[in-house]
Amino acid sequence: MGSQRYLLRKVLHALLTLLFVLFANFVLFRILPSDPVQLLARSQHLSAEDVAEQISSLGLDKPIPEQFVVYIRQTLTGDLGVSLRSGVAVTELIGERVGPTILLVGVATILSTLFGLWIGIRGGWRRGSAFDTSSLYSSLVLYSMPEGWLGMILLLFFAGVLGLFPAGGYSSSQTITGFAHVVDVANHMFLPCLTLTLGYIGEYAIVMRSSLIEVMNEDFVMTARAKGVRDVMVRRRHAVPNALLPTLTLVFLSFGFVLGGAIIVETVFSWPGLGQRTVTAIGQRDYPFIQGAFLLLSASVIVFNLIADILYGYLDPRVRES
Amino acid sequence: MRRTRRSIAIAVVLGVVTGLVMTGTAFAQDATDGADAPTVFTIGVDSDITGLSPFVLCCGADYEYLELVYDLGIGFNPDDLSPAPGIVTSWEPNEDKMEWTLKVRQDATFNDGEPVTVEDVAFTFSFVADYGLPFYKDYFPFSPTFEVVDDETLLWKSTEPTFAPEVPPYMPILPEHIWSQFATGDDPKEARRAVKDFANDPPVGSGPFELTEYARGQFLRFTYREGHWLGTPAAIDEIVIRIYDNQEAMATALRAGEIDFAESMSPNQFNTVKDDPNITGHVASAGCWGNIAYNFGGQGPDSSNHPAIQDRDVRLAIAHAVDRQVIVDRVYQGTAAVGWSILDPAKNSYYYKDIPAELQYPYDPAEANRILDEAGYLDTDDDGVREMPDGSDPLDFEFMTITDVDGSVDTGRLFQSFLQEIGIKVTFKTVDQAKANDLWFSGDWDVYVWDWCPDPDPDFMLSVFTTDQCLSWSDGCYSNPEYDELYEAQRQATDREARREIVYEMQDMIAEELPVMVLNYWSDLQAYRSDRWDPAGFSTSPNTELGLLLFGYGTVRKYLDIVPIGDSSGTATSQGLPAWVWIAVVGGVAVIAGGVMFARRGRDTDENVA
Amino acid sequence: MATAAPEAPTPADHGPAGKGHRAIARTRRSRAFLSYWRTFRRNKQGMVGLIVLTFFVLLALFAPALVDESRFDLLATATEPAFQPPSASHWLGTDQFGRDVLSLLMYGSRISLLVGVVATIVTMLIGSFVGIAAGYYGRKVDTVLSALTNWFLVIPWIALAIVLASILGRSLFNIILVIAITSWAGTARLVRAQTLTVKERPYVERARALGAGDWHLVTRHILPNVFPVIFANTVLTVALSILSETTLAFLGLGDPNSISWGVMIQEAFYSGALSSGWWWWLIPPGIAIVCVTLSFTMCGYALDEVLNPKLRSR
Repeated sequence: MGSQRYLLRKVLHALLTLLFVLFANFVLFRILPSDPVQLLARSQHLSAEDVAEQISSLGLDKPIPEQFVVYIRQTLTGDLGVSLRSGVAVTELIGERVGPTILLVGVATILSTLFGLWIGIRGGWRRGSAFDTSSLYSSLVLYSMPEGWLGMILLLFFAGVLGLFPAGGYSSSQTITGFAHVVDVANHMFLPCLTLTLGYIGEYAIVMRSSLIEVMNEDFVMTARAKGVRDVMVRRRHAVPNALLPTLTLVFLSFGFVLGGAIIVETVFSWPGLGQRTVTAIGQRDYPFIQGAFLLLSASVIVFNLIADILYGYLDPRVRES
Repeated sequence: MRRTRRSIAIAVVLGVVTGLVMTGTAFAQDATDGADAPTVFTIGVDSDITGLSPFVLCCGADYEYLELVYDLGIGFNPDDLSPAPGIVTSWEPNEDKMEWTLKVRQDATFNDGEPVTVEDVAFTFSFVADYGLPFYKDYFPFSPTFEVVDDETLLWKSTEPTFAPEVPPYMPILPEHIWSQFATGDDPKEARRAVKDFANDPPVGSGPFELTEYARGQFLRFTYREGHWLGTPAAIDEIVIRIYDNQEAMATALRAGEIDFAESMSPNQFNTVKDDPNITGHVASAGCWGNIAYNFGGQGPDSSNHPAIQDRDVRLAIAHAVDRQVIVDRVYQGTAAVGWSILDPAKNSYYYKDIPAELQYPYDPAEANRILDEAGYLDTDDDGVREMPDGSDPLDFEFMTITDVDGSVDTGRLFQSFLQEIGIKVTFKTVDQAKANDLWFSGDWDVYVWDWCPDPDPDFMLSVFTTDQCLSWSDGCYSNPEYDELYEAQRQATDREARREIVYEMQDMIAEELPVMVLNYWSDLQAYRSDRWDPAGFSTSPNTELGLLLFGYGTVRKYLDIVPIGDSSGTATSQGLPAWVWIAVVGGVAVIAGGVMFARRGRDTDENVA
Repeated sequence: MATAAPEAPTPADHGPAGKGHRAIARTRRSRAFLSYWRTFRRNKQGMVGLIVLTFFVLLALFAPALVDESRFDLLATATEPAFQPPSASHWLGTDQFGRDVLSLLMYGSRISLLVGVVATIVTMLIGSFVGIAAGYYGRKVDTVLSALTNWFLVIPWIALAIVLASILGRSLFNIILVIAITSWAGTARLVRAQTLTVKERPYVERARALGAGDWHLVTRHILPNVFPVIFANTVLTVALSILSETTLAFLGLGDPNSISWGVMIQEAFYSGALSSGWWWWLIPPGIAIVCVTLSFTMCGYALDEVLNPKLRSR
């Protein structure tokens, strides 16, 4: 009974947050002082009456409450509107860009999670060892690096000096298909992925390490050790699973931020992802697109938060009962 | 133990076999790619096209896309920007210039197979004129009507004498069978919205190339259409336009050979890249000029411009206080040219006038200080900043730095330093284009850096400084009745030379009155791989030293001249680790991981777990 | 083992002899502080971080004395060649205006540190206020504040920062504001959790039973016990704020007319440093940022250990 109520509460909470996000999104962009249509006017040689037309065709001249109702209705039916710039449906624009971002950041997150956790566990368990000290300092240094800068250094060295990898983009635009295309994308993705991975590894390693250290000082670990259980067993069966909980929450939260997390790296490497497109849209005041992107990014964070909460509840019964 | 060792062995063998198979397919792929690959010319640009509809054009690559996929009604001769045959091959006026006879070619087809007929031309022109469609409507003044006489003759009937067909109108010929659906109904607004929203995918045009692939934000691929009336390319089969998010990426791509031609490079990247022995750089006139714009007020209740700006003496002093050459050197790394007139020497060649020496105010801070002293702007409180003659406001100008405008930031900083020397304070308000628009509309600024790219016909550029254009195209609502009169006069002039005289006078007037201070003429920096493409295959448009190689008016026919050097297919080499390395690495990792897991599992079952 | 947190004042301290109990509290606090310091000193990481930090703070404070501001005057450097590699007269070469990169680097410490610290202070103020209010008052106040906090946590911070920077315009003040607005939620959540824990402690209940008012409870009991957590978090947040400023500057949202390390990296990148290989302009500002951020982080972690004994090595 307790777990069902827990689940229900968490789902409800997620839905409410989502609703709040919808509302806040709408308000945020309506109270912004800049008028997107005026912006278009100057660049597209529109006259005063053209401008008025644009405003009415976008429904921007209707009273705000009416706009809000239309907005909610449209969003719930999956219609995120149409780009102010090019007239293309926002869902289509976002759809084109989401793939590369998920690929890049997804792979980076998986790799950095695996390696980061492993480093953190190994370092935390053998605290003070050479491995621990060196990995801790490396993690701290990586954690302190500005994202874009690390990418630039890698570009400078690997692509510029060594000429080993392409300097940007998603693929060379020839019609390569099949496996060769996969290799081509892999080559283009290597450096940006490496940048992101190195950036995240530090954080995960540090958190996993402190979490493990905290657990190691707990009574049940000492008991297990006193009973003569092998170190590896104690670590694998007792310490790590308990230390994993808070770390997993962090990892899942990071998954949630996947979509928005790569803006800088996408810029430095010209990776055609959602982040880069959102930056352009903001400069152009393309409100429908920005709203759609915001919604998607926030929704993904909420969903992964929910998954993290549910997972946490499943793994740690104490949480369910509270 | 034997079990685990065998499992490891199996895993390794499987891994190796898979690897070999995959490598094999990858190599097979490469082999077939060699044979009859099309000759591709790859161009890099730094912004995507706005959309596929001809009614959402804005900038840069939009126009190249348009001229590749569509034919203009009357085209441009790339050598001198004079009108050249397009779909319309000749245009003869009658005596009173109110009726022009146009002849339409019979050998053009759209890329969906339909022939281009005189009806398509008549439809296109009247569609735009009747519904007042944006971008193109200004090319059809005085409510013209169009009458089809026979299969190859069309009459352009104007209600007033006009030169419009000779300008020529920048009008792509649209297929009636696609676009007529928007020409129903009486509401022009509906039509205007519809043509903008129309996806136009794939675009049906009669141009020399067809859009065969478009990955938004990444690249466009164009394929030559056999037998196009423009001619047959010497070598090129396909053109690819690749989009880069920033200049750095594009410059690096050019050096790596991923692209063959880079359009509109920034000065820094250009200067570095042109030193590469494999690359040839070309400085072309961009047909655009950069300037300082002043706010004269009058936009509305919120307009807050500094009163000193209204005084010509102040603007004159500033003109003497700014060293234009330093701006060219620092902001544009020497790739621009100091300029004085509001018309462009290359684009507006016939109407352009060299501003007389006495109006080319030289860099002379002492003179500037003298002018301000005499005009009564003294520094009464000795704080380094002058005050108004009546002692009230200090001369503190609000400079709107627009981060999206090239050179605005750096020119602004230099401007601040220069004005500091003559006792005028400059305070920055840094905004992006969108916010700048707001401030501009409300008139809440004093000075900013802007740029203009005039049409070949000077009418539009001249109109910007008329009183009417306040809150439309005018920067700061400058108003001069004398100038307005001249503008009307040149608009109505029927004699080319008479018109030119008036236009000359107008240029001098602007240079003297300084509603804007022209700073420099920009360059369009282009570069290409001269190790792969024969420099002899490139020519400039207009045919001068500073002409553009590509991306100009009517330069699409230049793609027909470009030839590769040797037998290089022109395809960009793809960089990175070869396929077998990837397979080895991934395969190796998988095998090791698998092996480790198998080994561990074996050990587990033999141990007691506490 | 030294004491973990200052011992909670017992009811006996709240006697009519106000002077007495204050003096006692003060001695107790200074003794606690000294013990903290001793523990901190033993932490190698923390000490290294503190030393590096001190160096940069001194650099920032004395930069105007070391570097004459006229070196940045664009007219004075008008004849100096741009983009020069390191030489005898310019150890780190010159930028696009011919200005000495080393001078820019030293001067840039001022803005970078200023923005980092001030933005963090504002973040902590907002975050602590919201967190304590939510945790202390509970119920409706908590629901509303938590919903607000959640929204700020969920929205992608870079996108929000870009939108805000676009509206507000680009000035130092606005950048500080933007960083604070996008960062306070994390602090608020932490502070709220800590407040909830402290609220349940016996002495707080006792004080309330004795009739202590809200203000007294918050300032005398909650705040002092939440403060250590806030303080450790603050130091870590400074590191994040400096990184945020770099990110915003790189996206072109910084104040282009100020000199900061982030702006230097942005100008280097967009002037073509990558494709031209001008490593001397691109690398040093990044290294400086890493050093400062790293030292703040190490200090922060050390502080965390000092205040949370479970993390200390035995």
